[in-house]
Amino acid sequence: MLMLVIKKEILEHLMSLRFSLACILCFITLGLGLWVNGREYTENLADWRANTTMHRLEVEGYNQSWMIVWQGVKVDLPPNIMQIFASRRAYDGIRTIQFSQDFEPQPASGATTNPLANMFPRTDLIFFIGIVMSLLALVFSYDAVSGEKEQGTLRLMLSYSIPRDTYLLGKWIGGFISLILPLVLGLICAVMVTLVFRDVHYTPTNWMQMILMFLFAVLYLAAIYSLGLFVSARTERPATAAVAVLLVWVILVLAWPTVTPYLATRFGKASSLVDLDKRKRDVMKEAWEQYKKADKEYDKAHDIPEMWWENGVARDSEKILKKRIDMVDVELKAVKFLAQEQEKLNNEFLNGMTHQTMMGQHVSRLSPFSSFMYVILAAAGEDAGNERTLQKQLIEYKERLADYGFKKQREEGEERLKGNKKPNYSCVDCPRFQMPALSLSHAMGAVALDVALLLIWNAVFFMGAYMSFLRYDAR
Amino acid sequence: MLGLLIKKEIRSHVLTYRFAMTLVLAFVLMLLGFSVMTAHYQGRMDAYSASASGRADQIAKIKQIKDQQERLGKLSELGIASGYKPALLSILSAGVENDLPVESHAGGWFSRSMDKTRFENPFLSVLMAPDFTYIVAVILSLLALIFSFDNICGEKEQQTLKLALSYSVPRHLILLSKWIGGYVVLICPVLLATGVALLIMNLQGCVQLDPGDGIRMVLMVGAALVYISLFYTAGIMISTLTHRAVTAMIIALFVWAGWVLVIPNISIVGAKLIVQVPTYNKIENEKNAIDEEIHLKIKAISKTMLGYGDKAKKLQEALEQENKQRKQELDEFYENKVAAQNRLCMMLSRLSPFAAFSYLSAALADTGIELFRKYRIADKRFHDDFRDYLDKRWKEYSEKKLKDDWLKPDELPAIIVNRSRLEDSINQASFDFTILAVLNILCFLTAFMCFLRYDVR
Repeated sequence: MLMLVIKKEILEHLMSLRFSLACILCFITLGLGLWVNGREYTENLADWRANTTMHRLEVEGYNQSWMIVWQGVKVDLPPNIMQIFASRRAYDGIRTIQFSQDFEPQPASGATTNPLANMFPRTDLIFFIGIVMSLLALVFSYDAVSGEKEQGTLRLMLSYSIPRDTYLLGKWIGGFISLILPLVLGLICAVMVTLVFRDVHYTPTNWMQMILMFLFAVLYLAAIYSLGLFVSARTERPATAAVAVLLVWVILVLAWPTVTPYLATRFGKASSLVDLDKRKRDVMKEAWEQYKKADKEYDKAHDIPEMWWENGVARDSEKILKKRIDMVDVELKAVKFLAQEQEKLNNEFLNGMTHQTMMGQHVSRLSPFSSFMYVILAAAGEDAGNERTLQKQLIEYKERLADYGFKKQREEGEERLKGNKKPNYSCVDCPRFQMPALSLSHAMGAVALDVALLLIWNAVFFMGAYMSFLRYDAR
Repeated sequence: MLGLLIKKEIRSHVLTYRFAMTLVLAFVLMLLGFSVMTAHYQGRMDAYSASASGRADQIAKIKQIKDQQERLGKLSELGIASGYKPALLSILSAGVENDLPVESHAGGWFSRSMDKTRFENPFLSVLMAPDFTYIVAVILSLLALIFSFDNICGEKEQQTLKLALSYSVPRHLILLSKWIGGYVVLICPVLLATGVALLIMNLQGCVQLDPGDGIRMVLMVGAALVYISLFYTAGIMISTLTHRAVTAMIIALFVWAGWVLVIPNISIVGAKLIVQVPTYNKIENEKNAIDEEIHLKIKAISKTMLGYGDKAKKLQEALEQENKQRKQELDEFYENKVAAQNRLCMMLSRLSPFAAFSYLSAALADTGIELFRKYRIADKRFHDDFRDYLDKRWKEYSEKKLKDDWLKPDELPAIIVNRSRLEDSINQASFDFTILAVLNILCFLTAFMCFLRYDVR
């Protein structure tokens, strides 16, 4: 019996105007959108390849040991292939991080240079499924009950020996399948389209991520679909249902998720970036003053005159060379002190900001759209937690670079002290940065709440629809 | 007669629950939107003043250094920062404003930059800002459609249209009264909510408006009315083209989704496919290659000519000139490509009144793409000027011409973004305004024609 109802529902939907419009929307928007995102990814990948080689060669070509410390190393972060499907859109192009021991890791490029990216939301899954498909889900379900009532078919149907719960379930399943069908086809088609690019290779993990994203999309759309059904079962006329459903959609999808990130600043006061910058500069000054003091003390102890050079040549070269070796440790200490203190300030600032962001997130979770956005970002490896891991690794890498660079400086000094005028100097073994591997289980753990919320919304809306339909007046 | 009909329309609309919802939504959204955007602007403004005072402190500190060489060295080492003063009307239309940094730093040896992805709320940039433009363009447009989609076909379904037309009322009067009555009911809550929100924003006293801003705001609200009327009229048009409210609803929704959600996005996609812009990274690598090449050439000259003599010097200068010029050409090439792509995208997206209204609003608030370009120019000039300033002082120092009080705060460069004049903004906005007006008239005429032959049975 259930199968019969489902079949009838599907057939009815397939013939409708909204189904064909949904198909067109899915194919065109998803196909074109993901095509462009895929192309962007391949361009970024090509840039990343060229840059990593170039920057590595630059480092390996350094012929003096101070260069690795003060001129620094540039590291390019590989683009995330899942950005084709979802992205935080905080930057375009690839991110290149500059490491030098007198300041913290900072972006060498990656600032937005093309405002086009910021004009409208990017066409990815967050936009398409989160906004467009959720609207479609409501369009598919708002007249499921009240529409049939108006046409008189509901009365007829209920006069047969079919229990109301079976009928509602059949309607739910049939309608939902016809909603998901264009999405599945459109998605498959769009993923195929991205595979046209030679450089787009999905690893098994990527496929996993995609499947996860799809499951989350189904969960989200099911919740919205049930919401439509619920409203439909509470109203007498489809026109009323449509208006009610749209108002709810406006609030849940368009208004609340947009306001909450801005509302977040109201929760607790975080200090400003400019202030943070000033405090970091103060720390920097302190670190260098300490270093200078140590330098002067060393000069005093070892009887080195203030003007230790003459005509560009050191007066007492052996003493100076020895000083250079001895001072390496002091310098390393200063650099590490600086990095530690700055990181402390950063963390203080970030704690305030994270608190705000988290509060904003919690408040925004009233809307299933926000939950959906968070789970999709997490599945794509674009979430805030992943970024934090990355930043931690960057700081660690800077420390390793400091150790390496100063070790080189000491070695070079020792060679010179031995009388070797041109020490053999090579940075081939300079440590490389390892991009942290994406931990899917970790990311999913962070958004378990959102998944649970989506499940709860599903249950609540469906139960609401069920209860309302059981006592629905079909006359 | 018209007055009577309008009165009837207004009464029947005011009693519906969609009016109640519009009233509530308009008030809540406008108040919430204005308050969060004002707070955001205030935050950026605080950062700006903090940046200005930090800069003044730093200059004063450097000035305390007596030794000229040390002072110059310190200035080169520390550099100076310059804040960007946010545009006041970004409260109403954020545009590209949030993509601009609050502060930029220029140094003699290196310039610091902040990692935005680390130090900013990561969810600010995923969706659009809830400003006046967003509320009007996305949310109120949908409400306008909801208001009007069953204006004609709904009445037909309820059989009241038949009755109304059986009296001696000309059809055009009915349509006109329907349009006026519904529109008045729709915009009253919108205007009221906007007015209250603006009033509260002013009373809080944290924003100082000058008359120019006032005019811009009034124009923006006026444009919003035209935009809302377009969606309202489109709803009536759809209503006269269909015979069942449900069909009208679905068509109206797809029109809305097409205009607001799909066309703007697809036009970005289209512009990217047609005008391909190389990534900025490629340009930078190209520039580095030029540097390398010129460097090698200069090295060769100094080797063959031992780097001495006028001839070698002249050759070197010519090479440096060439280097500068070639890099500039690359930059120009890139900027032109970006501009062409942006222009194309804007043209394509103007098929959607949503995009037209966004551009219009951003132009009036002076936060559009133009601002992005102006900021980039200002930032580049700030860096270049600072480098020139340092070069000049070092030169003066080596020639022993440096005066004692050479470090003057107002001589130092800063980021100065030229704000558009009101007339220019209006000029920029007029094209988009024309689009909205023409679409309005077209929709109304179509609705009129269809209604004259509408089958009410």
